[in-house]
Amino acid sequence: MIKFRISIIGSYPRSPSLGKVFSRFRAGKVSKDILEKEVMRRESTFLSLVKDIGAHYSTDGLLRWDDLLDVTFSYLSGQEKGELMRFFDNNFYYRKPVIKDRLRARLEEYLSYLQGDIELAKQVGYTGTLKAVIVGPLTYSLLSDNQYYETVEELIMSYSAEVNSVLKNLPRGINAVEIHEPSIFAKGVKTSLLDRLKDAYQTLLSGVQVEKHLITYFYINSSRIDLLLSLPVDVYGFDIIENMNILGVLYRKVKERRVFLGVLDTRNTKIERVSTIRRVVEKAREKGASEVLIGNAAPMDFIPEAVVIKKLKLLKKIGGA
Amino acid sequence: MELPLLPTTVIGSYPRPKWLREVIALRKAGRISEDDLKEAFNDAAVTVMRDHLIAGIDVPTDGEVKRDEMVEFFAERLKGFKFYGPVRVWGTAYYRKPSVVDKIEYVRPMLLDEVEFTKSISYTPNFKVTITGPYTMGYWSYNEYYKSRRDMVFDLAKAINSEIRSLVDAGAKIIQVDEPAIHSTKDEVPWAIEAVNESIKGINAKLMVHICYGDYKLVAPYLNDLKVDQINFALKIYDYKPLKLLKEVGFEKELGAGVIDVHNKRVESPEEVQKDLMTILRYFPPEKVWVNPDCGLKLQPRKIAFEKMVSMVNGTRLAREELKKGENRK
Ligand SMILES: [Zn+2]
Repeated sequence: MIKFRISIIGSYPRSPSLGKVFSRFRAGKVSKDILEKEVMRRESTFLSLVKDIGAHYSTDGLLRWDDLLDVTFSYLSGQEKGELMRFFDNNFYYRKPVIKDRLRARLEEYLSYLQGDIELAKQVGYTGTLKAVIVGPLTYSLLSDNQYYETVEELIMSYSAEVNSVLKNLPRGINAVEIHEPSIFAKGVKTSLLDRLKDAYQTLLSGVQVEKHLITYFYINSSRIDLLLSLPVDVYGFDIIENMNILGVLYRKVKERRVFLGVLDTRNTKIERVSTIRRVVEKAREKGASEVLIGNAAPMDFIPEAVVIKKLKLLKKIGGA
Repeated sequence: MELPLLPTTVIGSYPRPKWLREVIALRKAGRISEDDLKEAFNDAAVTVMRDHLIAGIDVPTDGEVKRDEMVEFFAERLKGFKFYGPVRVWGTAYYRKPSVVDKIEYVRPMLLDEVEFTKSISYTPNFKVTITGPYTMGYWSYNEYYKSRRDMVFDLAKAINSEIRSLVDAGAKIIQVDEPAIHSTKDEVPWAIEAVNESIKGINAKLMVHICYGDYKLVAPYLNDLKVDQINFALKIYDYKPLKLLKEVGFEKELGAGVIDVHNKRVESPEEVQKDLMTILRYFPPEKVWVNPDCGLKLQPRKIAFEKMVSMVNGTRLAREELKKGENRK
């Protein structure tokens, strides 16, 4: 039976007990050191889990960040944290970045986190590929509040150029970047923005040597699949568990492409059937995708940790390193 | 129902007294009995009712002090739900989102004790009882059992209807169905409205629906289809912009106007409330307006929640006087 390589994407649930340490740190009741230690302890548990299921690729679980947009604060300056906004149609909220000044890359903090991840992975014996996570330029521009740039197009290009310099400096040991671009399928995105996206990605990824995984989730808008596939990345990611009705269209388009298929619904506690997952991913291969990676369909914050563990372990039955 | 012009009310929740939180922790640690906890809950309800009395609220609640959370409370008491653990809503805030794993059925009264006790301590027969609506219950739960969310929500509506009947039998005269999620998904709004109507079918009480944060445009065209007397909204936080929208769609229910921002520690002044009310009265006649905060006051420190209620009541009194002067001049 064919084994599919596993890729774990995005964030792993930050347990309430870790949440408590964050609250205490923010209230000035515990030191940065204690927080760091606690984050690393939980991250090490996560990486052990990932190792156990035989994931070929994984993030570090993004435990240190409140939400996806929060990650950008560790690699970009020029923005402040704004009000809480709903993250797509979830009962989950993120702090809206408010762009007050020209965006500039900040390397130090982000790279030192990644360095820490590399060392931790070594310690727990995780030998898969660690991915750095960034927010895609379109998603960033649509989920932030631009108070500096004249136009969104300008913002997208500036973001891409700055993040490019971050990606060109990734530490040895980080061999892939995971770009989160769920907004590419969002309703009501201006055509003029979509038209600039290819340019933005050229800028974002020019001279970046590591593998590039472009990740989308929640929806697939079939009229934009071609646009997505025109972007210069190595792996194209789709949430298929929530979009079973358009797999026919999707699979016709991914011939000779490397794809990531999100097969675990991270917005429902219902456990998937292994046979269903196997059927849909085998179909993608039959239809000619050059490689099919499988994993969780979206960030994992939306369901309890206990359910996440159960779901991730299903992957072991269909995939493996 | 004997009420002044522009009746003041609260949305429901109120900060738990600090000592109650400590008592709950003691109970969790097994250091006091269930009866002790129950007594503390009752005492807390008395305390909150007294805060409402002193502030001068016309239609009070017990502050929902006995309920941890608006979905969890009912999910724990209906058949068909299961809890796997907490999930995060943002930063370091969590809630226990239930999963529907079986057919939802009404087993036994959920709020009956609460209502009977509230009735026994209330300074007015016109206290309000709140219950989470079927759409919000369904929307904030995982669906493992039903073919569609719609099927799940209509079973919830049936269960909620049974509950509301028992509350009215127990003497509740004002029932508020909380539907903060009703405008979450555009395509689902039409049947969500139907489900709410199903949940209040055949109920003989003053009925209201609470809707807060989000895009009111999605729900506005359907508001008159809700078979209730009143709908209350968060308005202050939107600087009353939705009034124009409500007017445009020909909103004809009583309007419960949110005039207090519950997410901001700044206490509005009575004059500010008065001025805001006069703005509201440019859109809707005073006979059709009630006054309330945007949402439950639970998230504020008790002192601030209390001061906000006092300002709301005093601002409403100023507005009533202003209206009277206007009358006299005519
Ligand atoms: Zn509310």
